[in-house]
Amino acid sequence: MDLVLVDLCEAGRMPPTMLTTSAAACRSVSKIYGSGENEVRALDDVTVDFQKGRFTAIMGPSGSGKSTLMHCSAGLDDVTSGQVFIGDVELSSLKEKDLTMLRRDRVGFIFQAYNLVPTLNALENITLPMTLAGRDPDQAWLDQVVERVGLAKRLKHRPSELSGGQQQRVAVARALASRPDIIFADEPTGNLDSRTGAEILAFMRKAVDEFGQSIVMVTHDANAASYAHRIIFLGDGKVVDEMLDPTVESVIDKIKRLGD
Amino acid sequence: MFKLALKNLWEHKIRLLASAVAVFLGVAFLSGTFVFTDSLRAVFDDLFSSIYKGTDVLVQSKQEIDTRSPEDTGRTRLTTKQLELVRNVPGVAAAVGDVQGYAQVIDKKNKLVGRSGPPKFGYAWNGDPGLSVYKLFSGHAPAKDDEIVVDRGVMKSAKLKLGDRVKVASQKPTQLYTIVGDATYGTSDGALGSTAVFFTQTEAQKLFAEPGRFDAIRARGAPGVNADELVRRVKTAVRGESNVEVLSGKAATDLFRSLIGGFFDSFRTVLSIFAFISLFVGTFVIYNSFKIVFTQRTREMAMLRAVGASQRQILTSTVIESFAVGLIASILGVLGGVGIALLLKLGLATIGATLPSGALILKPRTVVLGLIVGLVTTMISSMVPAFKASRVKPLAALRDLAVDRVGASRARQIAATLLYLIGAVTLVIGLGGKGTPGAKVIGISAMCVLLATIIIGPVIAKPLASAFGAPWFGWVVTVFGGLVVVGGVAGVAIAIAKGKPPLAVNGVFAAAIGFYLVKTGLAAPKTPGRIARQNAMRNPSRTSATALALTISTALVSALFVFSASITKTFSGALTSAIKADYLVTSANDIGFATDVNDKISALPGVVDTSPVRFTQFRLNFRTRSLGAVDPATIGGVLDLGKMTGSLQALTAKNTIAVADKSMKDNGWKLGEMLPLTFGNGQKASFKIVATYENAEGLSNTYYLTSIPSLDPFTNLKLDRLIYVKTDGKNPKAFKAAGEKALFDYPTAKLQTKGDFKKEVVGQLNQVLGVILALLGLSMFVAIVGIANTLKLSILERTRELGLLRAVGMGREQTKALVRWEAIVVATIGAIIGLVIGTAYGAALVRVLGKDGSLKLGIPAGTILGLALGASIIGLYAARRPAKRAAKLNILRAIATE
Repeated sequence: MDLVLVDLCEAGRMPPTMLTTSAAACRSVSKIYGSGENEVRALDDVTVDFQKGRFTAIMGPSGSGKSTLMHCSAGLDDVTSGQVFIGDVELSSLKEKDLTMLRRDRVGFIFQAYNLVPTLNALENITLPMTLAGRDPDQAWLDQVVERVGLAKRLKHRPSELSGGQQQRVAVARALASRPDIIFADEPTGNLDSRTGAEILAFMRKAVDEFGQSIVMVTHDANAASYAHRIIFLGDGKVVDEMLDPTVESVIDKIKRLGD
Repeated sequence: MFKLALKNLWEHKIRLLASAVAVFLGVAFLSGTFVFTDSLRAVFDDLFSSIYKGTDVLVQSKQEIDTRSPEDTGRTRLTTKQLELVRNVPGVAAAVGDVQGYAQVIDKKNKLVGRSGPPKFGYAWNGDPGLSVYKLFSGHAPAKDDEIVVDRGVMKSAKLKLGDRVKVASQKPTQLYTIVGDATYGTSDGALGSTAVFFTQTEAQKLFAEPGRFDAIRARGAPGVNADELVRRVKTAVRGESNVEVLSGKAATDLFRSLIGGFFDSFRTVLSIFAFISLFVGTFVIYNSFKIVFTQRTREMAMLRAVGASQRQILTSTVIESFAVGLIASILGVLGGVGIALLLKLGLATIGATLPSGALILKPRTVVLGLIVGLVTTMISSMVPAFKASRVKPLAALRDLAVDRVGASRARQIAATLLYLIGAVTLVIGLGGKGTPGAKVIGISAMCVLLATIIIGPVIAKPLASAFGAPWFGWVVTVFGGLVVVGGVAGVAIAIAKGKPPLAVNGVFAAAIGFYLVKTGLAAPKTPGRIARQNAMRNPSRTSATALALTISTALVSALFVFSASITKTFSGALTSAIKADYLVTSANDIGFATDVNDKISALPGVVDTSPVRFTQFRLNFRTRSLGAVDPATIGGVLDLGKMTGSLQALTAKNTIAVADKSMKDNGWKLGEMLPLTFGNGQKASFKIVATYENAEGLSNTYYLTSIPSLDPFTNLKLDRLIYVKTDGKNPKAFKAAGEKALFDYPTAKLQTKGDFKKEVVGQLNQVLGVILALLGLSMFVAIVGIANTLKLSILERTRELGLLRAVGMGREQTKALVRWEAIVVATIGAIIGLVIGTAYGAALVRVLGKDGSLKLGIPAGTILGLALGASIIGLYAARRPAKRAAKLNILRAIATE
């Protein structure tokens, strides 16, 4: 089913906006840095869609364009050509102000490190996007999220008083709290030990399975990628392969084969 | 290490820019002061050496008190007999008698020629070319008593030509003269802005002195006669004359030079004080920039330590860095000083004070002083941060940047408490004293309190940031901003209504400022405001150092405002209560006006009483005191002198004096006592105390009064300074018109209502205030540079945090509001501390200095509140560029920043 849809998209026969199952999508996206001899094609005519209620991982070696793809899909960076959609909104038509609003209201972020504002406590960090928008958080949902991340007792703590794992959990909670259309995570466990990392990843997967949250995660760690429903492999700015319901072994196997 | 230091400096050149700017401004101001005064002094030196050029011997009577009036030397005049004595000395080729006084040409529009300030000389034309600096340019010397020669400056500015009949004001009734010639001073049109009118000798003596009298005698020797020998011979010749001094031309020049030198020295000292204030404020800015830059480099330094750099090496590298910054900034500062001096000179030219072209003088002393002061300031203020940076542990390389935890240390609290205690004790002692000694003790107390506040700053910064960062203050700023908008819009409306559209720009500007204040104020209770408040709180020592830079200038400014409000209040009170007259005739040129003005005014219909007043100085018990000369018959009707003993009528007797109660008490005098007075011309006389009075306010606190006839023999310049006029008040309009008509020939005299007079004096006071404020403005500007810099550096430091905030949905306007609010909070903290200290100490000083009743305390509450709120505008201004920068951050790059 998924593959068929991707194929349809790639063939350009069906606009992604019509794909009700898409949380975000890229159509023929290219991203070029520099010009002339220094030209670097970070993304080369990439078309991909991230389904609703799915956990998608983007993998690829360094320089393959995986971070660029995420940044472009999330509206953090503009594209040289092609179209990017979040839900049914096409980003290139948006002004900076609308982009900010869109990020605030419909996108969640989890970075590798430095996810939290040091002067705000855990709860304030979690509700930050909503307070910035001047909205009241959905208290019931917030309680549920906080409960699930296991931070109920640490809400008044400042980031400096939390462990790395706890800080990342606050970041996940923040991403979830505003119920965004889609969450983008950039190596969210890159700075954590494997056990803590596993906890975070399991929790992210649970958020997808139980709450129907859509998540896109960039990683180079096969172990982390194995928590996803689907993996998109990038190489030299192009989608080179993809895989459904991966396991650690199958991912490692695939990376080896792609490397050959 | 040396190379590394310089490389680091280059890398961080932008970050250390603020330190450099702070040093640069201070040094430029300081060296500019020196260059300007040196150059000006050289010009005057030239002028004064030319005055006695050709003069070998100067004979004049001794002077006891400097009259501070160039037109009137205050010396006893010499006689024709004395002139003849000098003239007959063997070897004297020529001797002339100088006659000098006040004379001023009135132009065709009935305006006085020549700006207020420089002297307006009237001279007797002396025909000896060797003994006159003024040279005839065209026409001929005055031959008849109604002929005059004027300097070319007067000719040009009043557009006069030879043969014109003009009015000339002097201490005698205004008279018409024919211009028969014009003269140059050396090669220039006039002598440094002064004006000169030359009469025949008899006319000059009639106007300024009396027939056969001279102010001084100058002589030149015949060729081949040794000048020193000539001085000796003249000395012998006038040995029999009392009270006469004989000087060589060179000695006379030196005497003049030393007089003007003293003036320049105090002028320079005053300017230097302001330069040092801004340098002092600069130390905070430098301290902060270095501290932040070194903190940001903690990791790098720790890494250096880890790979084997010693503490000493790290310290050396940081010290080299600050030395280089100080050196570069100081060199630029000295150059900037030359520029400032040039601007000052051009500025003087635009207001009409054309100085003879002379190069700017940059003495080696100025360069050395500028460099040393700049370097020392930089080194001292960067020492603490450098030392702290060198003590970084190698392990810090692995940790994230630590949050500043300095502040609440015990030593800090103890030191501050001690200083506050000393401050309190000295304040009590100072308040107990009076006059200058008391004020000095209070000054010490102010220093202690300021120092204590600087030390305790980091401790109090956190609660203050919390208090002023809170939503309530946001509402205050919002309301204030709203008022500014309303004011700005009203300003635009008024400007348009008055038909002066260019002035509307100010209104638009104000409205824009108000708009941003409202916008920022409204953001204060929201997330950006909360984050900003936390930012100000999380680094209290940085916040306090930034804020305190502003504290110093605000403290000085508010103390100044307390002073000026007190003076205004005292003065207004005195006018309403002590002056019974409803009009005053005042001097338009700050010299005085002819005595027949009084006759003209008293002849007007509706006049009940007029009373003229003169002022002079005398010396008693080694102190120079101010003496008022009045008309005993009329003064009581126009002034309320309070409770009196004795009678003013008694002053009609010769050599009698009335003394204020305060001076009676201070000196322990009794009625009837004889006071041995020494006057400006060296004459001594005993004056008998015949009356005492309680209230000196109506006479600008003159504690000694005599009658005009009693004073007459002791002064040369016989001009009235002030006339009190009491009318029946029946037809003020007609009176004013009649008065102005009567004074038509006397533009030197101005008829004013009491209200106009008050306005004028308050206006003059405000002008002085304005000049001092402008000088303090520089230090305030340095403080603003400091705030902007701290913001810029902390934005650099928090790049990732800002990137994150932007990524999760903070809009650009919200980011700007964040930066602005932090700046407003910091600026307000600084200003409030400064206002509290400044107002308190201003009030204390007024109390102590005004204990004798000369000053009543006035607290300008509105102005101070305005200053407190105005700090938010300063914050807004300082945040202008940092806010833009923060809002423009590239989110991706910001997040990727290490």
